[in-house]
Amino acid sequence: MRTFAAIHAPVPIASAGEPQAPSPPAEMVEIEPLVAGLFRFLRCLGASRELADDLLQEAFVVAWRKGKQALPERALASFLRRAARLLWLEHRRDARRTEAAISALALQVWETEITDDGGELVASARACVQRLRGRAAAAIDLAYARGSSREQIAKELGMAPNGVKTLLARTRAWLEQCIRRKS
Amino acid sequence: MSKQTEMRSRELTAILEEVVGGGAPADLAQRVSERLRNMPRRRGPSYLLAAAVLLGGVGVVFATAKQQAGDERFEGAAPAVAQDPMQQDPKSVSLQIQLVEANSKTEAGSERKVAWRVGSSKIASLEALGKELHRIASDPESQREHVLAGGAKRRELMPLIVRPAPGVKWNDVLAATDAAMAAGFGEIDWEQFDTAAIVFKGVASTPAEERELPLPKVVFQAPDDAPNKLRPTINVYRDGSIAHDGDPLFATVAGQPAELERLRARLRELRTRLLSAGEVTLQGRKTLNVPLLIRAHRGVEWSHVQRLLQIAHEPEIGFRKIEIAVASSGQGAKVDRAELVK
Repeated sequence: MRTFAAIHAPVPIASAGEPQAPSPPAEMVEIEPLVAGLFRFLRCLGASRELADDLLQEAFVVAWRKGKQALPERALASFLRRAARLLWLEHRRDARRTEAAISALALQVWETEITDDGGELVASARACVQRLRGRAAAAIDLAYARGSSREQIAKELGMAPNGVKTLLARTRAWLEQCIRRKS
Repeated sequence: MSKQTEMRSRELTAILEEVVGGGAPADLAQRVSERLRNMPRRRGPSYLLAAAVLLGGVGVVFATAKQQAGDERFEGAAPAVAQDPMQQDPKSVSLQIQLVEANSKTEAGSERKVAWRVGSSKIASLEALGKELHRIASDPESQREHVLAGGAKRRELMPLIVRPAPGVKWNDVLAATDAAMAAGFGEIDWEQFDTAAIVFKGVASTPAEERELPLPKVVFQAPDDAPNKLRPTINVYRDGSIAHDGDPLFATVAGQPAELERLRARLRELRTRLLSAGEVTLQGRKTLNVPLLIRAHRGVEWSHVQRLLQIAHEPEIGFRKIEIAVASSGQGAKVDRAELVK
């Protein structure tokens, strides 16, 4: 075991002007195209934005430690999704059995139905949302852009909370159908 | 609701939130790249990590990023699918800190508690954690052979790696580390944190400071006697915001990407100032020899402290000595050690 003095022995560091060590493989792989899709996948599993951010980073670390950065992009994306799912399950250990089943279905969808990084699905959803008018459009904006509660939306739109519940449920059902037709 | 319906519902919610709210943070790819760039090389030189108890068990030092153990955890064979990220490394003891949400329906606003997992054992209380760590530390199977300089061999306790889950608080990380120290572990890692020498310093706070930024309490701490006069102090508040000398350097904004450039710029500036002040030891290469003191709110999420530690270790910033401010045991903040070692 090291002593206190040994721990505190000066550790060489690179100064600003000194040449840095050769770049590791991280720079050889285009990260950006993988990030949006993996973030989307984690959000689809149910992770909050903050948690998706954390788990996504962990998934990349797992992949890099296993040397998976050399895989073709699609295979790497698939590996990252599986790693992210396992990390999500670890996070949701309290409900692991249920989450395992739900996330397995999500994984299946992402491996078979979604052929890109989910961008087409988002484009379809955007087109459908743009067709909404009136209270439906306002309710969707309040609920998903501002994260307003049912009561807050009701107050804003001059409706009863139960009316908002019904409005959101119907709008979601319509959007789901619209997105499916477009995809 | 069937699982299929639940899955579709979550998918629709995520997609709608992206359409009307926004997708992945703009800087996420950059942050991932940076993190991967700063990762120790696979099969690279193994940084030894150590924790030493000073003066009869009062001081504690950690050296982290003995990455070899972490690397080997992911050296499994399966080529197509990810290994279970929680699989065990036989050369180290894995101590996971997990978030237990009393209300699992929503993440926001739910009551948060932690549980621990050591190997395959689930542990629900800090007291039970102390006992389990003691049991492991006393088990001859937990010993490994260490080759000393000159070829002599010695049996010593395996290293322990603390793996906090997302959302775990700073206080929980320090409490788990303290329990590991009490059990006798000498080498302790914090997962995903590159090489560092960390010392817990018992720092005295005024009542106003204690109210604004209560520090975590640990048993194993070194007194903050005669601190380096040039040592900068960075405060990390409960909400994750960061300040130096009263200047806010980072603030978390819900739904917005983390803007860390101001923090980085200040740390670079500090580095330049410290270098020009002659605080450099020349041993063939330049070395920044001044520690950085981090005063983090005991209730802040570990990820905020972790991010600061990572930035402080970036090559162009290069604070290699980190001192962690904890409540001074001389201030009545002493934790009953018996609670940890029962």
